[in-house]
Amino acid sequence: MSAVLLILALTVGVYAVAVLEDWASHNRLRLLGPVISTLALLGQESVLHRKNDRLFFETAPILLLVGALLSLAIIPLAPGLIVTDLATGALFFNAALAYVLVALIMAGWGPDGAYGMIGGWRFLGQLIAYAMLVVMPITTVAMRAESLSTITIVESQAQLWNIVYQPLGFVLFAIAGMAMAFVPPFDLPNAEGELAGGVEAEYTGVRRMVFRLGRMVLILSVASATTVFYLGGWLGPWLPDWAWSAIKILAVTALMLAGGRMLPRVREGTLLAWAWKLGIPLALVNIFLVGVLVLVVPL
Amino acid sequence: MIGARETTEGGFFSPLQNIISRATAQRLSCLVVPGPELALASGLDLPAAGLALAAGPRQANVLLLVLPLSEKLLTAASIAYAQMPRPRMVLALGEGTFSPLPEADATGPLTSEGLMEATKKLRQIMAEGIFATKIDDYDAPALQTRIEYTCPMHPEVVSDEPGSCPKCGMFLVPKETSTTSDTPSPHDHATMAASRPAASVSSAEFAHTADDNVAKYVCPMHPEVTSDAPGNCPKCGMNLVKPDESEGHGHHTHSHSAHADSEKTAKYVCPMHPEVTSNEPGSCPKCGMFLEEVTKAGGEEQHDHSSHASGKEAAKYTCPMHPEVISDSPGQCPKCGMNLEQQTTDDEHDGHQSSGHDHGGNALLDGLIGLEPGFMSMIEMTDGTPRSSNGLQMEWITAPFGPFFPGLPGGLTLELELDGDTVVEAKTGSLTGLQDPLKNGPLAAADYVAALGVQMPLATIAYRLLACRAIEVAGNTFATPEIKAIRMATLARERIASHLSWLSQLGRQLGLKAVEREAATLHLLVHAADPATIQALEPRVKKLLSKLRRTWFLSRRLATVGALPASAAWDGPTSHDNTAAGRFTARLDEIATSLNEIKGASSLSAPTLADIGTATGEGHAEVQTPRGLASLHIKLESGKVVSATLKTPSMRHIKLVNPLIEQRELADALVAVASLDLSPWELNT
Amino acid sequence: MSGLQQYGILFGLTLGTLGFVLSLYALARAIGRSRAEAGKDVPATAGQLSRDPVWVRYNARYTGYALLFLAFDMEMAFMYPWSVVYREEGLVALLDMGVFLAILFLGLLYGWSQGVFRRQ
Repeated sequence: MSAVLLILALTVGVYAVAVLEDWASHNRLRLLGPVISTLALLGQESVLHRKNDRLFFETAPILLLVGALLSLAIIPLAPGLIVTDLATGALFFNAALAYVLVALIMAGWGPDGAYGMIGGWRFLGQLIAYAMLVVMPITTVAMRAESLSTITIVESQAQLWNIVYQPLGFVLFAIAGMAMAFVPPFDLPNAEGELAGGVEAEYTGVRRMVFRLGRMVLILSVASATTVFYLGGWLGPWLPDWAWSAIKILAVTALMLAGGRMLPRVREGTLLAWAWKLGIPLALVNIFLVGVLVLVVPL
Repeated sequence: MIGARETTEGGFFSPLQNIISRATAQRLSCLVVPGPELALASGLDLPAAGLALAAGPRQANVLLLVLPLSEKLLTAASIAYAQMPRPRMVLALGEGTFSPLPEADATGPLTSEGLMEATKKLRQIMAEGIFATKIDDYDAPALQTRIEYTCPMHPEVVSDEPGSCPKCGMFLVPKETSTTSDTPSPHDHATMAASRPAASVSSAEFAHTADDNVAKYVCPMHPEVTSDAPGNCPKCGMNLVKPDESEGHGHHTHSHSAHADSEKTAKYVCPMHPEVTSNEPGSCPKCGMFLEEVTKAGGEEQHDHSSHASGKEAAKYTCPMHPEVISDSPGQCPKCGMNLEQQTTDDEHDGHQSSGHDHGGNALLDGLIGLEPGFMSMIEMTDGTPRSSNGLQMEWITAPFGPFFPGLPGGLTLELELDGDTVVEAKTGSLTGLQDPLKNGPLAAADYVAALGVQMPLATIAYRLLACRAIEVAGNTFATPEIKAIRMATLARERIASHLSWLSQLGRQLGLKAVEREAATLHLLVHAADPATIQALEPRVKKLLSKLRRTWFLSRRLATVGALPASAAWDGPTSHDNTAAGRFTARLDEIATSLNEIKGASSLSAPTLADIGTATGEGHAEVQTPRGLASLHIKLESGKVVSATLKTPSMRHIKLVNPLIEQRELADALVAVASLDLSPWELNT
Repeated sequence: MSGLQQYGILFGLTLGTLGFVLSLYALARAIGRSRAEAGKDVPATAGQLSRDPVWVRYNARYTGYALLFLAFDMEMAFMYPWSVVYREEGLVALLDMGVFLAILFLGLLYGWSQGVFRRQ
């Protein structure tokens, strides 16, 4: 039963993300948009290159999708409505999303095209910038919850959401999460104006569809994780648990997608410099602050 | 539909195919040739027609041709078309031929209505079915390849026929190139990179486990293949060779080289195939290289560190990375800290090792011992590659950013030599560009004005005005103050439109979708509007300007890019700040001041020539076009233009590209190029 | 649910995804095949037929960051277990990790002073 519900939730979630992304980039809300796009991509040729690294080229979209789906597996929509409540859930989230990097580098390398390859290696630089800022705030969340299980993490916020308890961590995690999902202004690997599509450039037809699907799931996953770690997951009055989860996740997604469109794309050098000169020191300060807070105010 | 997909007749999936066809008709994504800015300048409202802009040929299913197009642009368009996945369509707007491209699926006049009609037709055709049972392959001259032959060591040696390199005698290797490219191979680095991996892999020495009593014959390529009797390797079919006899201990699994048997008598040996030896000079029967004389001294020199007295005592330790590091006892390399590896040497070998197949011929490498089989040596790989600014020797790639690159003007070619994502050098050019209107003889003055205007689709008014002024000076006729005022106001309108188009392009480049959209919409509204309409639009334009000024990080992003040297010949929009940010704000300011200039005007119209009769004379005029100062020197003979010298701002500004982008990150380099607002139409091809 | 079962589910999820993708590919293939044509199988570069290989040794300019990243990433391996028992251990844990992080942070500052945070 819950398996059916989860698959349904995933489908609806991904569909909503696709609609929201379309809305953020074209400023139009087209509810049937994803269906039409999917059909159109299904009818398009999927070009293979004669000299490609076939293994990399084929693996990349699948790996992206699998990595993103696995990271979603530890997200609870309501008590009991979770794929697997791993004791190491928060850590697993990271581990699964590490494959995003691998997938993008493979996608960039595979077709032997200049734009893609630069895009792939750029994302490696991007990972070096965001990775610490994802994991460090997660540890402070775990410090409060005394667990890495995502269910326990949500329950630990019953009295006060983490966004209030550790706002600094939230800001860092949200920004780093955007970079992890490479949404604008962090769309360095697949920038349209700089790399003509970058790692996505050579994917057409059904392979492009899988790649984009993976991307949607990734965005959904990052938004869900933000909700679970900082916005109290399913917690909320009046409405049923799953509704709160859905509302929060979609709101975070919409904010992520629309907010980024207002900023010019970040340069890789700038991103790295900001992440390490400002972000990491702040993340360390956050660990210290939460450390003191957890001992002094045991909420 | 020429660009239909292939399918079999009456398949099980045909209902699904029908649905897909209808869906595809709703998802038109176009690649504009030459570029979206020309579509804008022609007043085409792509979003209104439901056409999305594709980032590249792979994402497009409609090739939108804004005619007329130069031959070179059509060649580029044919390549882009070939790379579009099926289903794909051609939409041609305007007058002109487009010969290497297939017949257009829809045509129309170069107006917004024409676009609407034609797009509607495209949709109909697509909805009827994007699948066909019988389709023809598309082919164009630009897609033809020919095999040319080049030397793996000397990429500058290119030949149409196989043969050997005149410099080193090696066999030339085949390489695919385009038949249409007039410069054979400007990509030396890349060419070398292509040949390198093959060369470096094979140049490593091959290890074999000298499992003494058992192995009598081993494969030079597959040391694990051993046999008691001579024969062929089951893996690669090579002749098994006899390993040298000097050792006899199970403990050394380290690499050393297999031997050719006839070394001792050999005087001449092939640098690539050491098994080829001869007593007389000549060329190698395998690769055609000249045989090299082997002298004892030479051999010693190359292998000085490996010539030792006897096998047992010669157990030395050496660093796998630094062969010059040799120690009598195990330990770490003082240079890199790696564990030293034991090596056994023998005193028998001189000359070259049998490596089985051809390699890059790096004599230094042949002497290295201790390399794993297949180990890609740094020395070999970096040999001859250019040095980066950080001192590393890496391989550079040459990547074209144009002619249809999103965020750069269409028709502009920008070929970047990239070291990682850092630009080393740029080659710029234009695929469209100046053609002398007078190439078919003198033109009537009014015709010249029109011709120059048509040539510059991105700044028609400015160049018409330039021609008018120069001719009027030559004819000693002058426009009335009223006409002058109208001309200036019209020029101001064009400046607004041009800068809005530039902003749209910048928005596209930086991922500011809202700016891209709004600036393009405003451009369409302004570019042919009358003063009253523009006045009504002023708040909206001002809103965009203030939004841009307030956009977070935008100025900061631009401020570190594109700083012009003080001596630079820049006469485009300028402010006190000579960076891209300065030019950005200068353009915003110019839009605001131009709005004021239009306010007083009664009407706006493209400049037309005053009646000069059959005057004769010379005239010179300058006009501050949206991109900078353009000048025209003109010679009139009895009312006809006989010669003209045009100087456009882009001709000067394109020279600034290289200094602005050298050693910059790709993202910055592209912004720097965009900040110059080059027009490929103003450049010589 | 035992840990093994949980990972079984995750493995099933992976296989399911793989199956889903492969069936999509099969469907797309049944609808129509890709046609091999001249020029189509060359990576698209904005209207030029660029046949030059780009599989080269790429000069990544963020090597300085990357080295520091390794140090920090290793440190995270200790942070996770520490964070779970942090409340139990109390002040001692804060001091333990405080010292550890302070050293790391000093390392970061040192690297900064040595120009690690520059595009190489």
